[in-house]
Order: sequence, then structure tokens, then C-alpha cells
Amino acid sequence: MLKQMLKRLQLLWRALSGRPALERDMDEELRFHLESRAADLARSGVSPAEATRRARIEFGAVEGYKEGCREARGLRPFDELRGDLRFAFRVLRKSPSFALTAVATLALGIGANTAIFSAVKAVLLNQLPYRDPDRLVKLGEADSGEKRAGTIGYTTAYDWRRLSHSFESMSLYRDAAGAIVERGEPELVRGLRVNYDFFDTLGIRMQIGRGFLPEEDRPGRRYEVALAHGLWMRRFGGDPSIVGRVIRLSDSSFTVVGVLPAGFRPLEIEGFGAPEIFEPLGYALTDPMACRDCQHLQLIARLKPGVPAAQAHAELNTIMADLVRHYPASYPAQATVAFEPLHDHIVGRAGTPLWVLMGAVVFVLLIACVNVANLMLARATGRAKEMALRAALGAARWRLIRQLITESLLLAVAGGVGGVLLGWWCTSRLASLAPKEVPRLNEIHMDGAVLLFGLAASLFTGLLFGLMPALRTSNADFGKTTGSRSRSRLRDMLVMAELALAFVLAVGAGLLGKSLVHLMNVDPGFDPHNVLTLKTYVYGSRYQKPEAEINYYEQAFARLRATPGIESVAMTSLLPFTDFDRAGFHVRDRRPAHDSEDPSADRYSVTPDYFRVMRISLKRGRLFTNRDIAAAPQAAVISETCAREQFPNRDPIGKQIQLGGRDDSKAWMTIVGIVGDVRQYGLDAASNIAAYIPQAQDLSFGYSLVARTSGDPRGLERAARAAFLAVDPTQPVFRVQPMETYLASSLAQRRFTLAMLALFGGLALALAAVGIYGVVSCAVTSRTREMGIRMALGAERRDVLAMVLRQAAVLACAGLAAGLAASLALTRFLSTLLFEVRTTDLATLATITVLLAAVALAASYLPARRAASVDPTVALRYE
Amino acid sequence: MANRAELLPGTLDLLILKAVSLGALHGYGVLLRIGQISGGALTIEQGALYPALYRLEVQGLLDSGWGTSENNRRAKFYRLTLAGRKRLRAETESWNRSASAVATALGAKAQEV
Repeated sequence: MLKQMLKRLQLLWRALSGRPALERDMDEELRFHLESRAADLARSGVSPAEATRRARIEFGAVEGYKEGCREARGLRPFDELRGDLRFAFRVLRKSPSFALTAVATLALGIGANTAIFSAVKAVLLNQLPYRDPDRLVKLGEADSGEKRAGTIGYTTAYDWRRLSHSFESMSLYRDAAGAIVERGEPELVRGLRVNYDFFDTLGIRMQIGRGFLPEEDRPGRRYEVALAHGLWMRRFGGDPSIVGRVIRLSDSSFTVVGVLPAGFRPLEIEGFGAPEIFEPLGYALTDPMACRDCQHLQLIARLKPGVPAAQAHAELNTIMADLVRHYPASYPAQATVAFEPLHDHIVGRAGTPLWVLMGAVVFVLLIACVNVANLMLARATGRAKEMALRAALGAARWRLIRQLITESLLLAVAGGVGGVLLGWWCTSRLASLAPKEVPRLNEIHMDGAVLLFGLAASLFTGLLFGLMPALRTSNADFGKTTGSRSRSRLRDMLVMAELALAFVLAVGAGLLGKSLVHLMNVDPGFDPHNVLTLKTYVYGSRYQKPEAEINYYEQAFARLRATPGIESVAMTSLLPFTDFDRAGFHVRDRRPAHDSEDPSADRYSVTPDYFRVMRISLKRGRLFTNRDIAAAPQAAVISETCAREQFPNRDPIGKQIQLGGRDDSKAWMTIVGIVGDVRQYGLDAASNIAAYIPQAQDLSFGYSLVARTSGDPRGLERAARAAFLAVDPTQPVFRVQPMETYLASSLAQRRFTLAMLALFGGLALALAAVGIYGVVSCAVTSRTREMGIRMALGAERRDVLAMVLRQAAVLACAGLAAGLAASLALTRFLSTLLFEVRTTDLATLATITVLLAAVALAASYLPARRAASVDPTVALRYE
Repeated sequence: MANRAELLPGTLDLLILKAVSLGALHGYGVLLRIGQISGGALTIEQGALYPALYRLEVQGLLDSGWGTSENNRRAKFYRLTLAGRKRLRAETESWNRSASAVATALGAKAQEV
């Protein structure tokens, strides 16, 4: 059976590819027959001329049998297709403006679809570049039922690993950083500290060298490092003998054991950037950082083959419930396990906007289809005679349909080619325009699957817009003219659908736009304008003593204050919109059963001027001063929300607190002031409780400079960096950028989604306007005679205008009503993207309704005016 | 001429297979062979032979190739494939069965009913 099919295909292929050869063979074969027959006849005594004649007669109609042979080879459909195509091409060339409009419309629709699909594919659909990525999960402790897998403490992870049976391996990792000084400018390189089996869990092999050994992943000794391919090339020129070499990172020596392959995509810790160096984690249970509530590690795990995710999650939840029972002091009572497929974790919040955009471009494509279908229907009126004639000449109806569909497909494929080219261009733009906050966007590119999608989209659209007009047009019976009424009704329906689709898109863009406006009006709690920031860490034995580190900052401050354009400077351990540091918030005269029941507060270690530089308002009490030094009584400032939530109906000033762990042997801090809330996690996230402590009294690791400038902070970036490097050139200074950049990047994804949706909404609106214009002007043209009669009978110009507009208004109203219903059904998919705007926001719906109604009326006004300005005598003669 | 019978529909393929089963033949040879083995009793429209040959080849029952004819000319020869041989056997049996059934039916006399 299979062999037969293959044979058949082979013959068909040979027939198609070697078409001339086949014809030649066939001719020769038949000629041989005729000549042999003639020779036989001649031998029986007939004259040669007569023999040839008789042979031909006996044979029958040669051309007919040849056709029979071709059909036997399965060639007939191809011949017809070729004929159809040639004809379709001729027909379209005869009406170039129609063809161009249709192709351009389709190219827009298909191009937008191809581009967005390439993004959806890269970000959402493509597999992660790890071995069996479906079995990789990201795990974290969920203190209050959160879904996103965040951090975990070492001992907790140790117990999960020990007690569970669902996983092949579990690996911890955390952030690391090191300054590379040798070979070029000092550079702070970000990295990860990882369990020795981290790369095995991901299923990644080193390009050269090896991964880590179990004995290298021990406390007190971190001597080995693996390099990312990019760093190896950039800093070491791709030197293959790098393995075994000792390099300096910050103040320590590390032996390079391996280099990762170029295609390795490291896991990133949020807000930390792409890691380029990898060191062993080096934790043990005895480590003070390994405690159960020391939640600062990240955990990935590989499921055993065949173990369902839900089962593994349930197992961990059971284990976690036991741990909570055994160690109530270390976990909140309702602690559970956050469990995410790694892919979901990486894609995170980018999923919804991309699917929304994909939906939006499909709408645009549908509108484009409707427009082209409309054009085809309009043309159908002109082609009714042609169709009737061809039907009368004996063309079967399905043959006419096929011809018309061939025309649509030809248009669609032309549009598809244009669209894919457009999409290709857009895709490269998209990758550079889209915010870097969208994960995996750098992986966007055109590939076979995207091209296939473009092709499928064109064929689909070709059928979609071609089928209905084809069925209609081919129905035209000779002498029957009932088609036109139902055809115009169909066109009305199409225009209504178009308006409805445009309405949904416009409402979506409106809602997102309103959300963005709301967000931008949110007071972040500080003044981000004209503030320059940079980050610095201090390393090395020179800075063992806190005074040395503070002295380093003081000297840099002195240089900065002397720099023209810089008004005031301060340091903070926690910069809004980017950093994360929480510590348990304990009140001295409020002792819960367990410390773990106390809330976590954002902890800021700041220099006294921080509030003035950032313009954070003082609500009560006092700010820090230069007298709040290490030897002075410990002071703290808390945020308004903290005061309200932690000290209801009491005055917090004078109350004593500790951060990070209750310890009566240590000093308690006294609250001296209350300041306004700061939106630490972005404009759309409510503020957590916050506590500020003076830098001089509690030094943290890693600080950000904030400097208020008199003008654009960008101009001072070099001066600021130079001020720090002048004090100590070996210390890394990085991420020198205005505070507003952080603000902008927190909004970038929203802005991008909105810009795209607005673009598609505008496109949809323009296409819909063209559609309405087309339908109304076509209706007006076909009623010119009627208008003439009305005017001759005394109708005013105004009446005619009103009549046409009324008709258009009916269409528009119906379309808008349908759009309203559709948008009520669809905008709920936007709900996670909205901010303080309901999906049924009345003002937005009303605005969009008015806007679209205005566009619809404007599009019908032009043809209506033409109708009204018609001269009755001309109109009556019009045919 | 009076003794010649029109070909029943569907029997052309069977006759071609039979003719070719006796040895590879070119198209004209098939015609002659059918005339020969049917004792000249069957008329075939000569041209109709070729679409049938092409069809049988597409179905995998025949194989074709260029060779040299008895009068030293290039000609396309047809040969029976294994599948063709099987088909010929099956078709022959089924033909015989139905032919004898029809013959029996037509030979029935009034008292036998």
C-alpha cells in the first residue's frame, strides 16, 4: 500500500517535474503505434497514404486520449490550477488599484501577526535551552501563599532535598559579584554561587574544563570559578588554556575550572542582571547564614521522569507542613511551598501582555480580511455579468468558485509575502525597541516556524475573505438580479463586524492608557527628577573596619559636593524601584509567641541627608543628623504605613524596635521620626512597612549614591564616577544612571504594551474607516438615480444628506453595540494589566464610542455629500 | 465483423493485464496480442488503450521502460509487476465466477424455477 503510494507520488513528481519529457515520450509512443499500424496495413496491400489515414481513423481522437493519459497520471488538477492562476493574475493586473489595496491591507495584517508571533514564540513557546526543560521547576518558601517562587533558607532546602522523593536533584544558587581588575578597566562582574550539581540539574556541559566537585562546595573555601562564554571571550580573548589558571576576583584568587558553552542561558535573579561568573555555593548547616529563616537562596529542581508536577508539589507541601509544626519559631504558621515550572517563572508577567497583543493583531488581521472581502464584494457587482456569461457557457459552479478562490489565494499569498517582509523588518525593530524588562526578547528572530505561521496566516485569510464573496458571486444566475440586495446586506454585516472589532481594540488601548496615566500620577513618595544614582561595593582587607568604609564614602562626598551642578549627596543601602532587603520588625514591648510572627520591614541604611536629597517628607518627629553616630543612642525612622499598622492608636515616637532578629543582649533602637511612604516596588505596588537606620550605626553591604543635581543628571555621570575612582580606583562603581531611569524601566513593559495596542487600535480604526467609506459610497452610487428622483420631486439637499447619514448611523450603532458587548466579554483578559481602572470603565467606553461614531460618520459624510450635491437631471440619466 | 463483440465496461484493464502477462509488450503489441488471444472476437478502440496503460502503471500493476521493437525502433514496453500478477489472478477468478453465474442464470429453464 505504502509502496504503491510512493510509486504514485514518484510518477506524479516525474510527470510534474519532467513535464516536457513526458509529453515527448507520449508523442513518441503514440507515433510508434500509428506508424506500426500503418506499416501493417501497408503490408496487406493498402497504399501508404491510405494506410496512414486508416491507422489514424482506427486510433480515434489522439488529443482526447492524450488528455486521458495525463489525467491518469494525476496531472489534470495541476493544469487547471495553472490555468486558474494565470487567469487570476490577468484579472488582478487589469484592476491594479484593487489588487494593490488588497495586498497592502493584507500585508499590514499578516506583517503585524508575523512580528508579534515571533515574539510570542521566542518568549512563550520556545523551550528553554536546558535538558528536558519540562522537568525543571523553581521552588521557594511561600510565607503567605504567594504563587511566585522566591527565596528559601539553606536548612529548609536541605530538609526538602532529604525528605522528598519526587526529584532527581535540587540545586541552590544565590547572587555573587566580583571585581576583575587585571587586563583592562576594573569591572564589576555579576555572578552566581551555585551548588556543585547546579549545571547537572540544568543539564549543561562545560565547553572546556569541568563543573564543580562535591568537595569544592564546602564552607570556608571558595577557590574555583567557571566563566560564562561571553566573559571568557571579552576578558580573556577566548584563551583555551584558561582552565587551571588563577584569576583575581575582588580580593581573592580563584582557579578557573571550566568555561560554559556560548549557548548557555544562565538563570537570572530578578533585578540582578546576567551572571557571568559561577562559584561554588559553599554553605553548610552550621553556617550562621544557613538558618531556617535566613531566606536568601534560590532553588531549582529537576523532577524525576514520570512524576507529575502536582504530586511533587503536594509532597513538598506535606514536608513543609511538618517543618512548620516542628519549628514554629522559624516559619509563619501558614507557610507553604511556591512551585513554578521554570519556564513560567522566567516568563513571569510578560505572558499576559504578549497574549493580549497576539489577540490584538489577530483582530487587526480579521479587520483586514473583512476589508478585502468587502472590496471583493464590491467588485463582484461589476463581475456579475462575467460570471453569468461563464456559467451560461457551461462552467460548473464549483469551477467558478475555485477560480474566485484562486484569485483570493493569489492576493493572500502576495499579501503574505509582503507581510512576512514587513514582519521581518518589524521583528528586528521589535527586539531593539521592546523593553529589556521583557524576558527572552533577545531570542526573537525569524525562523522556519515563524515563516510557516506567516504562510498559514495568508492561506487562512485567503480562504476567509475569499470564500464568502466567491459563493455569492458564483451564484449570479443569468438574468437574475436578486443578488445585489443580499450582497449589500452582507457588506453591511461586514462593516458592523469591522467596527465591533475596532471598538474592542480601541477600548483595550483606552483602558491601558488610562492605567498608565493613573500610574504616572502616583506619587512615588520621593522626587526622582534630577537625581543621579550609582552603585558601589567595597571589597578587600582595607575595608575590614566600618570606619574605613564610611571614610571612603565621606571622601567621595567631599569631592562630589565640590562638583558644580551637584547640590546634595547621600547614600542608601536600598534604592527604590530596584533593591530588595527585608528584615523582621520587632517591637520591644510587644512580644509574640514566636519571632516569626513579627512582620518584615524594608530596611534602609542611610546617611543623614538621604531624606532631604530624595525629598521624602517628614511627617512627625525628626530626621537623622550628624550626631547619630556609632557611639550615640541607636535611632530609627519609620514610614507612615509602618506607624499606622504597627502602632495603631499609639504614638510610635520613643518606642523601641529591633530589625532582623530579637536579641535582648543587643541595643534597641528608639524611633525618632516618621516619614512619608515610598513606593519601593514600583508605582503599581502598595508600600510595605519601612524602617530607616543611620549608616553610621549599622553598616550594610553595598550602597547606592543619590545626588541631587541642579540640572540634567546625565551630564554629571562621568564626574560622579570619577569622584569615587579618585578615592580608590580598585573599587567597582557601576550602574551610574538617573533615578528617573529606574522609574521609566518600571513602566517600560506597560508603555510598550500600550504603544503596541494603541498602534494596532489605530490601524484597526483606519481600516474600519476605509471599510465604512467603501460601503457607504458604493450604496450611494447605486442609488444615484433614486436620489435624483427624490430631488426632482422636491427633496432638499439636506434631506438626501440626512437620509444617507441616517443609514450610516444605523450601521455604526449596530457595530458599536456589538463592539460594546464583545469588549465587555473580552476586556477581563486585560484585568491584570490595569491599574485602578475597572475593565468596564464607563468613561473609557463612552469616549471610545464617541470617537468611533465620529470616525464612522466622517467616513460616510464624504459620499453622502457627493450624493446630496448630485444634479437631478444628471442623476436621472445616470445608469 | 458480425462475430465481433463490444467490450464490456471494466474488462479492458483485465485484458491488458492478461496480454502483458504473457511477456513484455509495447502498446501496439498489446493491441495485437489481445486480438490474437481473443481470436479477433473483441474490438478495442485503439486510442483507449493508452489512458488505460497509464492508469495501470500509476496503480503499480504495470512497469514501463524504453526498449527496441521487432522492427528495430525505440518503443515503450510494458511489463507486469508482482502486484499486477496478483491482481490478474484475482480478477480472473472473480470474472469466471460471475460469468458462470450469469451463464447459469441465463440457461435456466421454466421447470427449474
